[in-house]
Amino acid sequence: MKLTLTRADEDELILRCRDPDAPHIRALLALLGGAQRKIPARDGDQLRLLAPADVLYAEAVERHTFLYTQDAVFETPLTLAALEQLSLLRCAKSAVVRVDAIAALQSKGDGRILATLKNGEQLYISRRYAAALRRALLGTPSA
Amino acid sequence: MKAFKRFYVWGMSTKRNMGVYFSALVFFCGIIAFICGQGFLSLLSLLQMLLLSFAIAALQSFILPDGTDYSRGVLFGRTVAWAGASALAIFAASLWGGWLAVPGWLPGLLLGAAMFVGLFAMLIGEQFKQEIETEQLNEALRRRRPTE
Repeated sequence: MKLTLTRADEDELILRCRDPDAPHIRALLALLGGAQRKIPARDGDQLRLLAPADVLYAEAVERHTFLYTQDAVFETPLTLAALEQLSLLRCAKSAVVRVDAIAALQSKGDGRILATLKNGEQLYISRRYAAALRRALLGTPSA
Repeated sequence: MKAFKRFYVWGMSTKRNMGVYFSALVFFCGIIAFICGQGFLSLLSLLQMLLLSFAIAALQSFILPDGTDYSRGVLFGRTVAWAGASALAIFAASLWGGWLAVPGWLPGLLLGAAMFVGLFAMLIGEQFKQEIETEQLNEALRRRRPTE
């Protein structure tokens, strides 16, 4: 891998690679994102760094992780476990949600909680993960 | 083995509810019997009450299983149907089994009505529980966002 560093008027990082999905490239992106507490997100051919506050929730589908913002969807090389380190809360086996993106909650009889996000979307927080949400909000895991 | 475990858990939950309904039946029967001057309930009547309580609990497990979401208007649909059917069965059983050694259908009707109110009140409690938690969760969400 060739590394070139040049002085410029503003900070800009351009990463040219043969295969954006190569493991070492994904690891580098994850490292860059983590260092700034930002989330790397693929926007077509470009890569953006999103603030965790821009993400409403994320979902893992067939080994790919997708970030949902107010009005767009991006793919990210980060795993759900890595996103949990950035203050997103696991709400289901294959989803994490940012608690501050939740507009309203409704308790359901089977231990689940229905979360309505600020963009109107609804997510079910499964019984297994509802305890963590209750602990985060109420300080107690049970209803 | 999976089916056996499910049956076992179902049995545990149903027996718990059966116990509550049996206690309520004995309580209301006892009061009505006492008011009518009767100082005891026969063993056969108690056994019949226990079996009927199990049937009511089993019916509940099919119509209103554990974890029913009471936020969607279930309370005034399936609940009334279940409580009504149970009260009717109690009324009929009290007459057939002679639980209350008092002539006439009025004591049995009183018993059925008391149980209907009791069963309904139990399930209102479930709805209240969900509503209370919903309020607490949303209040906690609001406290996280003091500037909004």
